[in-house]
Amino acid sequence: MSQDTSSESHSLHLLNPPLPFDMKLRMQQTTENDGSVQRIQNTARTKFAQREKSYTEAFGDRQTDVKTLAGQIKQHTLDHLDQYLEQFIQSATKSGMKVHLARDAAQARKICLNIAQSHGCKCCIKSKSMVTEEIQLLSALESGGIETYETDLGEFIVQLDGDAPSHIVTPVIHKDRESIARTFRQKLGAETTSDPEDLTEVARQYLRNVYRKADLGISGANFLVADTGTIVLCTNEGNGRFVTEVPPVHIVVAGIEKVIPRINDLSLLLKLLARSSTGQPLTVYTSLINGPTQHGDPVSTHEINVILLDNGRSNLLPAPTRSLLRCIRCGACLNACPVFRHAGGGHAYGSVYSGPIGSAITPLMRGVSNYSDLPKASSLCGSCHQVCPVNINLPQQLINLRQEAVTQQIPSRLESLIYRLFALCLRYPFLYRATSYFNKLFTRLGGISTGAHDQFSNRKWVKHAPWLFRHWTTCRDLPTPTSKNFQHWWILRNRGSSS
Amino acid sequence: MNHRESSSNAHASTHPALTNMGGCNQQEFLTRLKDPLEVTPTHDEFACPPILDDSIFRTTASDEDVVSRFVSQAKAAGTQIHETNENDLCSTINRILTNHKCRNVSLGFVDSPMDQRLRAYFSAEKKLDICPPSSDNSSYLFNVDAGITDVCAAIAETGSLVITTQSRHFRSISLIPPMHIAVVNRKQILADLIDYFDAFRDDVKPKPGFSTLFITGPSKTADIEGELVVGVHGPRSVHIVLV
Repeated sequence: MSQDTSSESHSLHLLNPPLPFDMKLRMQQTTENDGSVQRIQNTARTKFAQREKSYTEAFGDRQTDVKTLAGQIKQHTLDHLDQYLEQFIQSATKSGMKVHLARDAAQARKICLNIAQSHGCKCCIKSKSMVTEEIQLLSALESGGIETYETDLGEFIVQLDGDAPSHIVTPVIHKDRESIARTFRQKLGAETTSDPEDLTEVARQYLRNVYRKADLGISGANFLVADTGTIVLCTNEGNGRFVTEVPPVHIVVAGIEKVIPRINDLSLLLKLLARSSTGQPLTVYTSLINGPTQHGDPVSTHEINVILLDNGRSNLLPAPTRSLLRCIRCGACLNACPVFRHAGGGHAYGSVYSGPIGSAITPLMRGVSNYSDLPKASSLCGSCHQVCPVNINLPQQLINLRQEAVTQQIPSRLESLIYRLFALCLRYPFLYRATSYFNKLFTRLGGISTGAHDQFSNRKWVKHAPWLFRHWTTCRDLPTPTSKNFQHWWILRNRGSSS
Repeated sequence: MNHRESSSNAHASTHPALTNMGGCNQQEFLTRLKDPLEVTPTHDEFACPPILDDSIFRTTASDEDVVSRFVSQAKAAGTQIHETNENDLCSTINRILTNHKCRNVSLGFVDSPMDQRLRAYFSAEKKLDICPPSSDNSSYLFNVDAGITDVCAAIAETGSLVITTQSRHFRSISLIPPMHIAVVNRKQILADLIDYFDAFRDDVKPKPGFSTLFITGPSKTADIEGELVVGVHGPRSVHIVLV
């Protein structure tokens, strides 16, 4: 589907911004629209509650055991990733699929284009896949002369609009029905109200015509089963089935971390994926594809190509960060994260993968110095770890990344000077005591600039801190320090008890 | 464990990944992973994955009535249930079709006597056309009002239908027409998702070319403002005829 070049570059810019990425600057845009922030809040909270309810119903007090087991299975697979990949390549090839390996995005795009061109494909339908978003496949196919249609409703809207997905499970979480209706009227010439049912019907009719002519289907994969060579794909809308069942050529693009050891492991992992992302016991359609259709089928030609992609994933393989590759992309940590909810959704993270998991993997995949803001975009409240179905300790990973940023000298000179002074003060008691004078000075300054008394306590709040400290108070108030410090209080207390 | 026999080096070169489309050489690709994995010679031995202790993640109780759980879960997913018996099967299906004003249907039964029975019934009634599979593609299915299939199992835990078929065309019968009717025998209902995958425990692997679909209700989305809409790309309604 053609779109004008300016909007295309806009969408590329959203998820592939100029580096180093400035999150603060980006958040000024993503939080501009109050309605959009509110919608993201509501949807994320609803999904969070749905997950909670279905987990409790299904597993009751075994929830910790369940996530521990799932985490162990994924961790074991990663510990032996080379072997399981080899086994997958072996079994998938045996069941008639063609497996290709891509080191990076450029190589994956090239393989896709070569396959498409070798079959003379002209019209491609795509189901939602974050990995194809990551390698910017759509624009590569379009510039290779292959008409490409996103078929997931959310992704279809995003493609028409020249926008980018803002959540890995619900891509148009940031949009309202009015703007979607406007897009459909403008780009498709459709006469429609803004009722979600009518809008869905417009997309259904439009895409059904596309399905009839499509000669190439591109999808991602939720799991790759090593012992049977099975591709597992979970969708709710049914577009994933059109993509994999209707066109004669099917390309699967999947990250190397998607492999799991045994077909039986699905009995656990499928139970977790849908419950974690939407609270459903199972997605509406779960396809286990075990090779192309064989002879004797009325619809005879069928070819399945699997592209296994590294693209920075091997950077995460060293032991300290390996557990991050357990992620099954359920999106539960996004919905649980207070920062994600307030930051205006996925666009704030400047990468396909957002939320806590994005904050941890994006810097590792694309360079810590390029995304130094992301590990700081967390309150370390631990909610993401609590909801993770495969038990990834995200807060700890984010702390490690912050530490790495410090050792790489990413903080400004001023910041490191301040910390060095702080360390000095802590080392010498007389210096430490001297700081209490600064404290009192600060209280006075604070008192001048506020005037705002807390209605519940006798405390004052600093509304506008002076000089360097002003940044701290742009979005929040600083409580004024107490006039007595701890040492002072301690001496008084001892005097009191001795007398 | 069955992993040992298919372990790494034994077949290393028999089915390598392809490079003819510009892909990376397999040896080179995997070697790059071994370094960060700190692969040592002893690591080469294939360790067994953790044991899947299903008492941890089974969600159904052993004394539960699987049929009633299946019915309530399927309804929760938006499927419509029609309970009937062997004798009234054809008339029940016919009633669903006439209620929805269907003019034609497509049948997706694999080696089942049901196929002949329904054909005979519909030709005697002369009410409906049965569309034959066309020779080259599935596009005729875009003009069919309903697809009728059997299933290979059903899952009570999730209210899902399981369809296993070698044929892409048969798969499309439960996808493209706006209505899908599935004939399920009560005996086919398994309690838990675990029970379906248990069949693969003893080295029985799914056959190449056979794909399995789990279908849990009609096609749906909540993409626009989180509001649930039924009937996006696939069927708008799914009917289960429970025999």
